[in-house]
Amino acid sequence: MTSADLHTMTGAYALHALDEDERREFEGHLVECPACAREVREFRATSARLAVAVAESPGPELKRRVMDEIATVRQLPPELPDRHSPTPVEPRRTRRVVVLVLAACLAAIGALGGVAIDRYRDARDAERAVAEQRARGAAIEAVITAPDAVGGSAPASGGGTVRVIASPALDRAVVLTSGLPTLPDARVYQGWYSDNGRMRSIGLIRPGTALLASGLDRASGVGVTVEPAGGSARPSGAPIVLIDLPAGRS
Amino acid sequence: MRTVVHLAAPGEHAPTLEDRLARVAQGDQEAFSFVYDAVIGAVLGVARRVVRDPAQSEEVAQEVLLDVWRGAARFRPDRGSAMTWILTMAHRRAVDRVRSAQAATDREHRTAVREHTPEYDEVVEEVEARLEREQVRRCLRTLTEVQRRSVTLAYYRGCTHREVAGLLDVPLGTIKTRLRDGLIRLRDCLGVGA
Repeated sequence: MTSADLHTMTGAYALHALDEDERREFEGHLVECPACAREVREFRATSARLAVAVAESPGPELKRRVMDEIATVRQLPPELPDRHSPTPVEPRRTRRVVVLVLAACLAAIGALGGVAIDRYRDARDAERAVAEQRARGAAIEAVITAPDAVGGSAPASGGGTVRVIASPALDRAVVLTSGLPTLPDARVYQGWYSDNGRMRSIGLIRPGTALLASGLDRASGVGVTVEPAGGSARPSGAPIVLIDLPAGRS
Repeated sequence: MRTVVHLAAPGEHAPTLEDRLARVAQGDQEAFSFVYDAVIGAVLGVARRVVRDPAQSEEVAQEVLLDVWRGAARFRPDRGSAMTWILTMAHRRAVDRVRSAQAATDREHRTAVREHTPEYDEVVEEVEARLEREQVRRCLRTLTEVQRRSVTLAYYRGCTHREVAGLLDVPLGTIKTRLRDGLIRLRDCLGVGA
């Protein structure tokens, strides 16, 4: 790529919209192009205004959680000693995060699981997990008790029952399973939204726990399939259960 | 032309956000509390735009504020304002979140797969309807339609330029240019300096 081509990437770079390869190539260029670096700084300042323009009021619990947490979190020293230490400073990001970026909106699948585990191995996440669990419980309750909640249940073909409660207003659904057969180690249950037959993954289902799924949108139903460990991008077989959601929702 | 809004709202002799951040770097939790108050609205706002899900957006905001606490000593004033530094991290974190599939579910279920299907009409309308700052709205209007959609899809929805190109049915090379041109126009309209 020519230097002129690279220079046009300042905008996409500042908005975190480049693919990994391009990002790396551009960052190589950035160190030798002060004009580009300046433009990126200006664009970052510009996009910060876009964030300010959509500012929202947080609930008071968030601050309490953050203040509680910082009291237990060690601060980083000023210098950047090591590429592999976690650092919020752009543009030197760890490879792990880069891999996540590569995964992109376009549903790149594969190695995500391992990457995600790796990323969340930080000790501080253990504490956060507790708070998140609490928040999830509240979110599930909100769906179940939503005034517009709809749902249904059906027996799964291999035994057991699957129940779905969805709230279009909250754009979420809760999937509950009971009595599903235990699967061999290499197999997992995976949930899907069905958009009139087109399946969108909503994540893996651990029998006995509730799956809280966002992005309900106009899903016409919810299905469950059995997939290889780690899940699949698309159902690899027929669903063991498919529950229609009432039509006519806005 | 109206002057640029002061993001840190400096009052009489009030320490700037950068001053506060320097105190945070020394472990000052009270200074951090001020920084939190100054930035949390915008941090949460950008997280909500990109991530959508309220609970996950709060997680992202929390992660960003922890990054601020942990990394305060690594803030480089010569590279831009503290607000820009923090909001760049916020956008990065939000984008990571939507591109890394359903992270909260990942942790519980080892992995999960999610599609992220942007709908640009909705985004643009919603963004425009709810933009709180008249200046930003006015400046966004000065962009061409493709520039504006490119910038808002990339920033508020966290799309890659490839996805933006696909959504707008415009060649990839063109989108890069439109993103840059759009940001240049926005930068000049907002009076943003380096």
